[in-house]
Amino acid sequence: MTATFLIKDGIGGVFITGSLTSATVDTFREQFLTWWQVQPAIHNVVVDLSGVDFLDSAGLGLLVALLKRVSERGGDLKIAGLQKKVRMVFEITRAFKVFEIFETTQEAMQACG
Amino acid sequence: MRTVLHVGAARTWTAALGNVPWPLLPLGNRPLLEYWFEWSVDLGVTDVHLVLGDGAEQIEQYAGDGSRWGLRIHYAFLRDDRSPHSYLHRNPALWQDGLLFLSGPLFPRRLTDIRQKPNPPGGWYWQTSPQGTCAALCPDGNTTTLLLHDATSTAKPFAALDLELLPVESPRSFFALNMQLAKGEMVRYLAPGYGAADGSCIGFNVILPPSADVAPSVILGNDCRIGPLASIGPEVVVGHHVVIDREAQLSQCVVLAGTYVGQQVEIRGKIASGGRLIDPEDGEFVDLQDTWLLAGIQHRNQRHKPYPGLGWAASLLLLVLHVPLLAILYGLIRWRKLGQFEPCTLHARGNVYASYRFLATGAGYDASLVRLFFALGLDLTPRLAGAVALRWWLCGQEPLHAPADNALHAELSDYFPGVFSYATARPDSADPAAAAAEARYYAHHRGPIENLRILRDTLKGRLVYLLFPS
Repeated sequence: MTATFLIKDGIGGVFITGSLTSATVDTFREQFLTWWQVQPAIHNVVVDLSGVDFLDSAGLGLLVALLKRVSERGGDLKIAGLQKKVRMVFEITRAFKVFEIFETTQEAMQACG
Repeated sequence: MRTVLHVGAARTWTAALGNVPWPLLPLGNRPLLEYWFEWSVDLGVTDVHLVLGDGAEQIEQYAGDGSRWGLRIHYAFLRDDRSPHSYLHRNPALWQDGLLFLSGPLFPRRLTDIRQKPNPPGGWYWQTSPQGTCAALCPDGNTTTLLLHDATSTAKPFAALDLELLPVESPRSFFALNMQLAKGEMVRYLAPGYGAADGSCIGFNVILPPSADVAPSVILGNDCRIGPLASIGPEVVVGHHVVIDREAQLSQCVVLAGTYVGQQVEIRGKIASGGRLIDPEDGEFVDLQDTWLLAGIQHRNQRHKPYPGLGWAASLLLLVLHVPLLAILYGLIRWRKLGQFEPCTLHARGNVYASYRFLATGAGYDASLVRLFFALGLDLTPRLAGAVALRWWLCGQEPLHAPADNALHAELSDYFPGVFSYATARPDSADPAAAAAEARYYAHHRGPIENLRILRDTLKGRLVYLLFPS
């Protein structure tokens, strides 16, 4: 699992590749929180999952935890680019009701703006 | 009349659903093969020829000799380069009394609630498809000859028999057919009384709490556990031995046998098979194996595997402790004529073995010596010796007597005879109805915790009997 962080128009973008599972969530959590602490001006975040081929309950739990962190700063966390398998996990866990989900990162960033 | 079922040709699409050959794929919780057998029985067939290939071992294990359906099953194999018809040409004389021939995954969908009559109306019936499936019903020798000479132009469609032979050639058609059965058609294939008026069918040993919501129509298999506040239906097929945890929501979906559905999980328009979630539209699947979401349940044949060595060691230790005590107390009991061991024959692991059971005389039940004998479990010493000889487990079902309990033994899908059982916790362990109910219960609840419970109850029950015999 690798994560890339960038900022565009005041919106944070997180691009993840690989699997987001119990084996990798701790690494990603640390990376995200380190980046989040040094970017106090960022309120909205878009997480691009187009490179994620598998996600389990631990990965989903982490996304929910990150949503809470972002919400505490008054912003929102949006999800973009779900692959079919990850979308199926989102469907059975009803995560669609928790997150705003977009086809592409561009659409998600526009929604943040 | 005879039936020839050609089930040898593999179908690659079934791999997504698990390691089950297509003739055993569940449609409304029953394998496709079973529908074919029932159709044969309705037609008055007694001999079925199963032409095997892929998945032969599993199919043979399931069908056995066919006596479950009142059929005689003959097995045959066909080389991959031979067509299914070539089997018919091997010995045409066999089919001169009529023939039902089925090749490939075809579901005989009944268009009415009326079962097939033994003598179908005149003529013969034929259907084939580009995928290679083929079906023919020839009521007599003349029409069989027409089939063997490929004179298919004279055949009628199966619709004339109020039957529709639906090919099951993809996850989508498998799912669609299950949904069709879940919508209420399943009752057409059940004996009267086994389906509800709303089209639902609930299996045996299903625990359904009052707070669970079941919206008709659904098909629930045997040995299912539904959690509180779960919502099931409409149009749901749940296989055997499935656990649906609390607040899960299932609608328009198929959950295959041995699946655990986690808390608050929602399955809609999908097939769940163990830890695998399958989209029937394109067959794409995701393997989760996540106990918070979706997971497989341990196969029942594996339930005893984690601790057989421990049970054996405990049996040996108990036996060593028992022998000197038995020598003293049993000697005293025999001297005072308070009881004795008598030979009996018990069903054990895979066979029937001779053993001994302790019978107290009328006066012996009240004697403190016999109560001490029971409290120490010395009446079970012969069984402990059997456990050391691997004839039964340390904890399990009360061993069934042969031949008195042969019917129950045949009925039990899982038989785990044990030294200690629910019955050994009671002073009077001779109630056959209770023993049968407990044997069925244990078959589905076997596990280390249940075994510890049996040991605890036995110890407690026998101490109470020693101290408070009344």
